[in-house]
Amino acid sequence: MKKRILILLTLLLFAAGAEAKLVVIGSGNDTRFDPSGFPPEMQKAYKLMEVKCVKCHSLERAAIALQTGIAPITGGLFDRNATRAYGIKMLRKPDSNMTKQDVKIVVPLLNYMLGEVEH
Amino acid sequence: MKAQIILILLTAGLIIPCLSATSAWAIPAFARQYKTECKTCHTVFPERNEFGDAFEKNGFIWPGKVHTTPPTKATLSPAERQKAEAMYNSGLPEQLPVSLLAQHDVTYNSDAQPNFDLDAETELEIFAAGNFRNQVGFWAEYNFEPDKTTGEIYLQLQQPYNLPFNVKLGEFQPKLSIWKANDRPSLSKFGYNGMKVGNNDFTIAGEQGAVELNGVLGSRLFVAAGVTNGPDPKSANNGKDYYGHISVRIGGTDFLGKEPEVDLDHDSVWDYLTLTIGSFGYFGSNADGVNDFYRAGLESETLYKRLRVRVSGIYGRDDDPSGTGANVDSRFALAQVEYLIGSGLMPSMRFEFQDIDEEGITRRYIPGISYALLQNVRFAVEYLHETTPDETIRETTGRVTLVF
Repeated sequence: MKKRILILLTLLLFAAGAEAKLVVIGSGNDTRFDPSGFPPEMQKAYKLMEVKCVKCHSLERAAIALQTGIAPITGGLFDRNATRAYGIKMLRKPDSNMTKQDVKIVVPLLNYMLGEVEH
Repeated sequence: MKAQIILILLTAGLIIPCLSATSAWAIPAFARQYKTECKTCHTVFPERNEFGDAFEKNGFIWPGKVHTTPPTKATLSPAERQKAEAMYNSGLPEQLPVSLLAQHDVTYNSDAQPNFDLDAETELEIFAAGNFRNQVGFWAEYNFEPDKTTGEIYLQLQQPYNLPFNVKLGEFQPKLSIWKANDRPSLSKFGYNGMKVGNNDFTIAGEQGAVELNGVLGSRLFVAAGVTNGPDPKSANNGKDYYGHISVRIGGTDFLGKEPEVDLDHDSVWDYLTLTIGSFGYFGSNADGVNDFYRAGLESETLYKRLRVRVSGIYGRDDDPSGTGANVDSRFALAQVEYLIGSGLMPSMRFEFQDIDEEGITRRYIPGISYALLQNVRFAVEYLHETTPDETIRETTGRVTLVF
């Protein structure tokens, strides 16, 4: 019996691992991600992303891009090449307050989140 | 007058349902179509940023966005998807791509009557713009001021039959300067855009019936060449005018709207520096062929983070612009500096020098400040100090503008 329970629990754990971990909460301007399942360094990166990105647009835009793989405005692919390009685009926006260091933190987070959607 | 009021009411009747049908409130046609902010293409409207410039050059087709199939979202129901497909097949935009611009001026001039004029000028302009299936860009505008009526009305075919260039035709400002006439934060247009020599009706920003071929070579070289009917539509002159433009951009967003590669580990001045250099020539004939004339210009724009510096120099020669048999040379130089503070405050300073043989030298000093309260609502104040051979003008203009 104990063995069966152990197998069941193991299967449940695998099942949870196979599930996409990118959880989106809310909609529109209130869109947020649930970073509780992120590794600690990505949780830290997410805190930065929340502050920096929402200066100019809601996180809904990021959520759509990450979930669909299509950037909502350009209609272009939102893949790992695109995350870097967007990072540079935001860096160069005069009023974005993004630094190179910020881009180096947020772009890997976007790549990580893309990976979570792909799982 | 009655017809105009009816036209306004009809227009409002067409637009209001479109506004209420979407959550994209109080933003013009492009922003509504692409569901993005005005600031995607503008610093303080109507001035365009690098991406806005690429968007305009690309015939109002979002750079890189090419749909070969209906752009249907995965979240749409089958019925909605069918509707979207039908709209796509018809070639019609889903939303009526119409915007309005309204503005009102207040002026202060101690030499004028009334010197403080609360009713200096009021303007309402309607414009439609966008593209059909990413193949044909279009622009059409109508100004309700009695003496202005239509402005530019044109189509631009994007690389028809896979040709390496675009074909622009209609009534438009020939591509000469690297800046369109409205591409500025200041209220008054760049002096060369309205400069006339003698009785020659030609102005650089004047709309003309024209056909133009243009295109981006590589990604950083833009060329345009065209033929026009000439600046005087009433002239019996059957000759055509010709023009050409070439501009190159070094650094920054290229003419296709693509961001530059930036090394995130090392700093370089090119991370934020954009240099655009352009040159043009216009060769025309008017007064029934009596006055052959040309204009040649060299311009540059330097953008570094929030600072933008523009320099322009134009030289021209008219054989006989006033019917006196005398050649007239003209020279124009301009320098403008502007700086973006925050996201919507932009002070600027412009100096213009204009020298037309027989008319004399005019100098203009134009400090101004624009403030975008919202991205589509702008307040601006500009002071003009102009010295001509005959008089000195000192005038302050305040303007409120909204687009929606």
